[in-house]
Amino acid sequence: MKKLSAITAAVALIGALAFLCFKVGKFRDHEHERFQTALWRLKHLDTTFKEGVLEARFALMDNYDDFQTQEEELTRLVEGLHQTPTFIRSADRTTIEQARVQYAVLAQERKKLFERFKSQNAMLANSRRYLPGALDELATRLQESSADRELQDVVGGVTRLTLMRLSSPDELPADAPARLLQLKQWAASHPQHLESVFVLSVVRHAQNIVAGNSELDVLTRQLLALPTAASIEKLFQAYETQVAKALQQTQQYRVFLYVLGFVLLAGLGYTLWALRSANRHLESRVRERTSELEAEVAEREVAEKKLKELLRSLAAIDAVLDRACIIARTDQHGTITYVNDNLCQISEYSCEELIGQNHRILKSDEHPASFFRDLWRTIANGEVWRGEIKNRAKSGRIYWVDTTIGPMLDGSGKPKGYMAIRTDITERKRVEAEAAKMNLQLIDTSRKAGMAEVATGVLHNVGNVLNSVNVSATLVAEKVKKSRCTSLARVVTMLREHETDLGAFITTDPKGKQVPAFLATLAEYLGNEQTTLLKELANLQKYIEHIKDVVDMQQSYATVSGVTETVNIAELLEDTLRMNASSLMRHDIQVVREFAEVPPLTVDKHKVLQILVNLVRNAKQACDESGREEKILTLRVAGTGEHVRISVSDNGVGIPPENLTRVFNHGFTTKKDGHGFGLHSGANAAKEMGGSLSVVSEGSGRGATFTVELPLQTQKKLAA
Amino acid sequence: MNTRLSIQHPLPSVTWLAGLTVGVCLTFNGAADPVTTNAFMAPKMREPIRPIPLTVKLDARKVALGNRLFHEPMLSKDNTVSCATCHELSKGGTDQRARSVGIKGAEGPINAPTVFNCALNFKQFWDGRAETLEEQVEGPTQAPAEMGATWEDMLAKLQRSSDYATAFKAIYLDGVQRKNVKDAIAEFERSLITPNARFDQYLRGDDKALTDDEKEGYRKFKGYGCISCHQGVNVGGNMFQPLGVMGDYFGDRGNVTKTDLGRFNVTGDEDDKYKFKVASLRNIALTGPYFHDGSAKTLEEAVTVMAKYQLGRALPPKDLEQVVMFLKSLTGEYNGKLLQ
Repeated sequence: MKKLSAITAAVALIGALAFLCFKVGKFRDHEHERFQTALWRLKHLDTTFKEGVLEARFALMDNYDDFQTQEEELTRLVEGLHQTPTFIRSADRTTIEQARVQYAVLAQERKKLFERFKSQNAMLANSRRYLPGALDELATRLQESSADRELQDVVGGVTRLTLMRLSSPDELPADAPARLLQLKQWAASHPQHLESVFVLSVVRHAQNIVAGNSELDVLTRQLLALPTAASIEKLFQAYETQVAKALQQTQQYRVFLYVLGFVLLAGLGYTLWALRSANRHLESRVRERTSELEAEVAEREVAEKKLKELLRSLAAIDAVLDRACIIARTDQHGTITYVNDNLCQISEYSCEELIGQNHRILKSDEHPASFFRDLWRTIANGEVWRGEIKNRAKSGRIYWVDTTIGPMLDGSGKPKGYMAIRTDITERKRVEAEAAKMNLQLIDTSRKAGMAEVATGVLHNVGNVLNSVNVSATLVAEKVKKSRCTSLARVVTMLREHETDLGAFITTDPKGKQVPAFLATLAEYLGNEQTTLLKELANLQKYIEHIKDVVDMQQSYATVSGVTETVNIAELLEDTLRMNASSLMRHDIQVVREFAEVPPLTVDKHKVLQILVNLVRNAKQACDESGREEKILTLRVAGTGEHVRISVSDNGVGIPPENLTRVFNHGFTTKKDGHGFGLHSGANAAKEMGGSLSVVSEGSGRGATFTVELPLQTQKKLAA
Repeated sequence: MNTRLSIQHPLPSVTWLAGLTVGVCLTFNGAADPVTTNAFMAPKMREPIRPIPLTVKLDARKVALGNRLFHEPMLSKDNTVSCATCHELSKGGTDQRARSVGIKGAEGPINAPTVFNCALNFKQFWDGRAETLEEQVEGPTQAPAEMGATWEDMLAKLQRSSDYATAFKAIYLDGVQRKNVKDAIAEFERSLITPNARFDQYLRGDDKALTDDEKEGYRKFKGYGCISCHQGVNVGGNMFQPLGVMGDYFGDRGNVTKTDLGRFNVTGDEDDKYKFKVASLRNIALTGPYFHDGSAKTLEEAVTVMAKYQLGRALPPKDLEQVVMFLKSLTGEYNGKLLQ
């Protein structure tokens, strides 16, 4: 910008300089001289012409060659006046032109008048030359013939008249016409006279002089009155005015030129000074810049090296990708611009068939429209989209591809095309589908297995209780069999025998005398016996009630599944213990309860119970296997704010570290008759409920703690 | 020393020389009778007739080319007529016919004036319709009854002639052009002057150049007033005059044509009717027949007609004879040779 304006300024200055030089140089002396000389000469010629006219008029000039020479010069001069000096602006030339045209018109008019003047003057000169001789001749002849005295007088008069007229053309004697008329009349009245023709010719020449003179005078006056001199003067003035103007302008331009010259000189000085300082600055800048550039070059070399490496690795990546993946590139409208062989292979189209087509050609119609809308929205925004897409091959075969589509951005960050990298996951999808199917079966199986376990537990418990029932019933039967009721019957019989003298008997008879004491003893005994029986019957009733409970419980767990209900964890744990009560009792396992206060949980009660029953039984077995004297099973309930944590700890065999990660795997078991999905299904169930099942063990023989964590939040959500 | 002396005394010698010169001049002035003094060639400066200059400064190349063109029949329509056909230099620059004959025998309306000394005329043609010689060239070349050419054809013909094309190119940058043809011919015509007539020699001071009769003829020529119109270097040719000042020339002749209206045909001015350019009397003895209509066969006849219609009388035979004798002394030289 700065450079441009500097150039403009320089051009403007040079232009101004050239303009001023042109303007100053425009006033050319030789042009002025030529024009001015022409005007002077014209003026001179005008005067010469007028002099010539007068000379010719008064017969002082006897030929007209000079007029011709002057006329030719005048024509040349007027011709030359057409070229107005160039330093007079064309607009200013008008006045000069007008004056010149005016003069040319006058000159033309004068020329015309002068031709007449010449003719007239020559004719008059002719008469003037001829008449004196003719009159003389006539007089001589008349004298010789001595004809008419009167005629001689007349001729004498005419002669005098003529002479007078010739000497003083301005004064014409008053009797001149009369005398001429007289002579003419004489000639007319003497037609036979020898000299009549001669006399007539003389008369005509005389008349010519008389009339011609005045006519010539008119012409002469007209010629002299033509304002040619004034016209030339006007032309002169017009020219002088314009010259003065041009001179003034030139002077003005000269002043401008000097000013501009001074300015330029000053500018030149300044420029030189500025150049020197700029040069100094530039040199230091060059030095700085050179070192900068060197550093830059070095940096750039490193960068280039890196870039080359990068390019090489990119090419390698590209090659690998090309081999490994299915690759397609499209323009921003989705029109395919590149495909690799893998794509051709999987899609069964040839490259030629694909390139130029819209990518839709591969669409399978198995995804909803919203799926692709989402895809396009993502990539059109310049983001990478990843997902699994089901595509259709040429033959209609459906295949799955894991697809990553990234936009290729142009300089402004807008997608100019897209690149899709895909991998064939048809096989994985198939396996996954199978696995999912299998998993469903497994869950079903485990559920069934769990239920069987519960059922087994139930039967076990019921069997145990039934044993107690049997013991109690036997005890009651034996007590009743051994009852002292028979002693009472014998007393009764004795009393009946002494029915008549009963009093006496009781009082007198020795045997009778012992009856009241016996009855008292019997009553006491029977009372004790009744208490024992009642107690035993109560036990029996309790056992039966227990059986009923166990059966009821089993029934409820077996039937209800996937239904959530609000439960108290402590009660749930008590139920669990109750279901295992007999075996725990049998194996003499001490149960420790450490229940904290937690809010009731809303869960699938059966699932939780299933997990807990499994854990308790595992703990029992672990304790059992350890062969320890003191077997302790600890149940803990703790709230952590968001979760409820239920721990089942034992001090049994423990789990070796290598197994810790495997205990939840499907089919893993350490038991002889285990099927290996108790913990697996437990863990799955916990996960299904949004919780978790985890284990901590310090190693073999050091016990283990299984912890079920269930979320409180889920409950809230569900409650809501 | 000598040198210094000669420098010291130049004034007296100059004064002496000047004094001598003045003395001589005064002596001759005292005996100022040019007619009787033959020893000195004292030019007659006060005469109304001037001698033709002995030389004129011209462009020789143009004159040469003009000469060729002047004699070139190609300038006419049918290549039969050249300028020289009607202006034969060997016949006093005329065709010596009353009326000229152009292409195909066509007779022109007017007598061909001599081409000699035409450059000294103030205008060209009898009616003066051409201001310059260049302008004049336009006339006869294009007139149907004369050369009948058109510029287009003429220039094409000249252009075709490699001779002319080269000759033109040598002089004019633009070669064969209308203006250049006119310029060359005019330049040649300017060379056609006939100086050194016996009368001119007389004017230049040679009294012996004329006989007494001729001198007497000249005196009468002046005395009858002829000199009023026939004056100047060309003895005429510098004004217009009506034919028939003192008599009705055309009435007497009859059969008045448009050509007879003369200058009127150019200006349309009533005053110019029957006016013609006053003819030059140079070489008049060779340029008959005379007048614009070629009506006067001999010089005597012409002078008689002039006296009758311009002066209004008949000249006495002696006067007529002497005037004619004077007129014959006006025949000059062309290229150093007396015209015949």
